[in-house]
Amino acid sequence: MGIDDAKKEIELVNAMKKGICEAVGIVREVGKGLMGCAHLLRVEQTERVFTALSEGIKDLSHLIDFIKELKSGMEHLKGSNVSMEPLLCWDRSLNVFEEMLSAFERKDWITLSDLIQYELHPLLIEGEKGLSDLKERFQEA
Amino acid sequence: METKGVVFEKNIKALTVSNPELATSILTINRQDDLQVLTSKTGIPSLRAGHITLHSIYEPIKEAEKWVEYHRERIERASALVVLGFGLGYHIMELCKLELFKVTEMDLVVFEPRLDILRTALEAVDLTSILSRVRLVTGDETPPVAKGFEILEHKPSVTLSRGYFERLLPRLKVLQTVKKGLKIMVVSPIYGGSLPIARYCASALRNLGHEVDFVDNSPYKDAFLSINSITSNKTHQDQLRALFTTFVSETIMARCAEVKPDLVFALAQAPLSDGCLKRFKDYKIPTAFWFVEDFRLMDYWQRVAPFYDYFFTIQRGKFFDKLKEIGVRNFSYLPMAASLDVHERLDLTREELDTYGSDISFVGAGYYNRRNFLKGLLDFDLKIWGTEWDMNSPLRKCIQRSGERVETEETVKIFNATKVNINLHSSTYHEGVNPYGDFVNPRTFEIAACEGFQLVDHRSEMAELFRIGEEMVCFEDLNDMRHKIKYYLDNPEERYKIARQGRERVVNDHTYKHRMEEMLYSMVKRGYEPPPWRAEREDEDVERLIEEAGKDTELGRYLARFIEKERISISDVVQDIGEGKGDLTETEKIFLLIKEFRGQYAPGKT
Repeated sequence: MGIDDAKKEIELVNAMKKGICEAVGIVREVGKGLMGCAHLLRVEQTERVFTALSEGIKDLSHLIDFIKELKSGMEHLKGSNVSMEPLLCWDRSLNVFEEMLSAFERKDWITLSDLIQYELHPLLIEGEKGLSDLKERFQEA
Repeated sequence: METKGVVFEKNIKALTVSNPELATSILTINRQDDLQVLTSKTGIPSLRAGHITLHSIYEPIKEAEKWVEYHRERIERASALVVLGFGLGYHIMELCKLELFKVTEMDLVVFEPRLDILRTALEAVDLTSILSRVRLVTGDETPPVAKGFEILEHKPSVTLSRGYFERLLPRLKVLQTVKKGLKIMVVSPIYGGSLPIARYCASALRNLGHEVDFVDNSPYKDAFLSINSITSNKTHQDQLRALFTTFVSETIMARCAEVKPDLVFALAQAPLSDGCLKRFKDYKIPTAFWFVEDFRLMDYWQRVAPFYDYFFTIQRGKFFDKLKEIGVRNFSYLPMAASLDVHERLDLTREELDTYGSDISFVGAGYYNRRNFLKGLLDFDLKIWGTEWDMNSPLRKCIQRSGERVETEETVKIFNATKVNINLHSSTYHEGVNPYGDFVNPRTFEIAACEGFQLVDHRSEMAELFRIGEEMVCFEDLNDMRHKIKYYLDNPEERYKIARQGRERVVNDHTYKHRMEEMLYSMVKRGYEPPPWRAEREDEDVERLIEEAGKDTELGRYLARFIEKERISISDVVQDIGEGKGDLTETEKIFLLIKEFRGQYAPGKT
């Protein structure tokens, strides 16, 4: 690896570390927001709930895009032995996402709430922990 | 753990006690294919109907607790609750756990249109603890609910049976509005028997919390009756009477434009012209009419009934057929009643007992059948009170005060002082008892309300209003009446008992308050809609404005100072600002700005 490559790798790692730091906070906020939506969806289906839900899902989708970028960045880190295992739960969230979409389409708000509360939210907690672990591993590396 | 069959048996047994009809219906219903009972992660059942899940598949009880928590504020301020959707009943069970439901009789009505869902619930969940506490409604009819009720929705059930609840909800909202209180204009006749009834109705409506504008047309009596002395020409008399009615109608219209009522309620003989009634329709002002007369004797109902939105009668059967024949559909039966403010038990003085008391008495006008019939009672201690009696007949010795008019206050004393009050419905052509008599006259309820004992001629509607022999005693003919007079004079304890029970029945079921409630409820069932100006008034409702602004917002706190007033206008606020001291707040500045805008662009509005 040349000096330029090493420099780029350091820049990439720093960008990833910064991104992870920001993402951890965002995951927590998104999780909180979606849980609020899940509780409300069971009792009211008003514009404010759907607006909040759509914002939460948009944020979540940005997070998933970021995780994809993160994974691709990690693949570029040739010399790194940091495992991608902490990010695996994000893949599982994609399946939940699909179920959520299906529930949304058939206006089955209880199932949608269940999916957010009992499936997605634990994954987000796990995902947040995974990101924190990853951040530590990067620092150790 | 109990099996499905055992749980169902227990539930259906409990339901049979509280709602046997529903229990029977449920026993005959089969579950539709779209229903799927699921086992939640906590092990208790959940339910899915088609694509809609009705309860959480994870923690249905926790979900139900949260549902109650979400609605807590509204539950606590409600006097009764209406819940849309039963599902498996978890949310209802959580509601019933509230202290409020344990210590009060708070009415809880639950609408669930799908019988198969109810059956599934009875099969899946032990509901025995709540079935006696809940009024389950499955049909389209809106049952009576107490004033101040709140509507809570079990959202998945509402989504599932959207069509049903979309029909039901507007009716419930109208019922809420009606229960909250309407502005009702009560139009009295110029004179006659329905005049006091108009007053009783107005008073009952006020007691029910409505704002009543009583249009008392009795001051026109002398002028109206003087028409007969102006000319003996019948055609001219009719013309003058029609012109007079038109004039009075116009005064009522003018009053209406000022009062802006939610309902115009007229009693029989109310002087409202056809033109006036047409204008009510054009302005979408709901109208109701209580025809407290015998349709066979008075036929003007044919002319007026089609003009009214709601037409109430004291007769059914043939009268309903006749109304249908002329295209009237919005009619309902509303029997007569008593006003407990007027007709009451009295402790009479010795002197009053001497004046008004007798073994038997009759109060009323001397119609043909009465003049004839009462002759058969001359051997009793009989007193006859009222007008239009023949002073040359053998009854003369019994007629009090030479047949002068007796005021209501005195009739109450007579009913109280008499041992056996005779109540014979009037007829202009029967010799005595009208064998086909149907409606029950006001006097029946009034004597009973006074806890007076009465013998009343048989009427076909009587048995539905009073338990014959226990709350009311009827006679078929003169012989029967004479026999009963003797019997009850000899058995005072039985007399007292029946009179007491008769009064109880009136207090419980037959007051004008009951009738007015029934009338308004019937109107709601028949699609009553408040007139357009109600919405304008509601825009000025202080409580509503505070609720919309939010109690804790600056605007909400500002408006709270007007809470004593029922309604406020921009002018009220501006006047209040003018009386205030110190710098203007942001809210005050906004109101002043609105006032300026109004002044410039809508000068007529305040």
